[in-house]
Amino acid sequence: MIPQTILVPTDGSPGAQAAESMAAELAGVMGSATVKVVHVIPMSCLYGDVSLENVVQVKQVNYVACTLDQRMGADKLVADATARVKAQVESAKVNVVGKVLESPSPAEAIMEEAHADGTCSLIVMGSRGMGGFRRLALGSVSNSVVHGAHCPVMIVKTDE
Amino acid sequence: MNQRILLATDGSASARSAEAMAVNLCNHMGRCTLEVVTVIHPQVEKAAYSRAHPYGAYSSRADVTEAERLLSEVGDRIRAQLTNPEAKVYEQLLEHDSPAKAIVEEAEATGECGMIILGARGLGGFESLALGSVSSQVLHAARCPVLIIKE
Repeated sequence: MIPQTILVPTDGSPGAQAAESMAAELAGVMGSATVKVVHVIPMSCLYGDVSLENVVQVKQVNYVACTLDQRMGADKLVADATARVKAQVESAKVNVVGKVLESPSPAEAIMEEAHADGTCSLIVMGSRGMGGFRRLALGSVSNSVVHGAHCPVMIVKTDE
Repeated sequence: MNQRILLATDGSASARSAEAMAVNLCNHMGRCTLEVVTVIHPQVEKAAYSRAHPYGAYSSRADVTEAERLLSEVGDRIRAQLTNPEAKVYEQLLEHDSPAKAIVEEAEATGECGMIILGARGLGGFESLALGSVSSQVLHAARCPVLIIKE
């Protein structure tokens, strides 16, 4: 019943870091879980000239592939977050892995990852990421995930 | 994480799933407290203010009986499944005109809420809604972590 994988979407924001800590703690409580730290690189839609070399097609729509800088930044972000989670996990049985995803929609990528291989993860995420308005209690990505995901979702807030 | 978990229930299918998740978490934890709450909306108007009914309205006897029955049913089911001897369960009936406010206030009253667990959608409302109004309001208002469980 308790999902064996805890999925933590992160963008390095304070809210995401609070979620990372919570995930580490829950994984410790649950014993032998895997914590999967993911970051999604948002892809932007490509209009007009598709003869450029860095075009990615998703569901028949063209997108600009991420740049090397973006990719390296994301890799570093995930590596840092994974290290933070590892440092906070008390149990040696907990496996911490990192993954970088690329998608036009971060929320959809998070949900697909959570539902991957027919399993259902527990998603633990911050209420609001880097983007958006501070006064919003729930950011757009968290909102979409909480509405759309079939698996349990935990939203963690930060006091700031 | 604080070891106090608040489980909000209304007897709906997603509340049942939330209940299972709460039991499972408690079984994995050490010493912990699971507070099971349900909220009834006072319906009957009352003239004078009283301490027991600060919202100026009484709940009908039938509503209270029904809610108490639900709470004890859920409480018994949880106790039957708990394998952690250090887990304490208690039930609390809340009366409030806003269920979400009641849940958040109760969770944060003592300042030591570990998390609120509740189903995505309760008995009221449309089946097609992914997230019911109470869950949505709790999610926005609560300062402690909120775990939303789908059916």
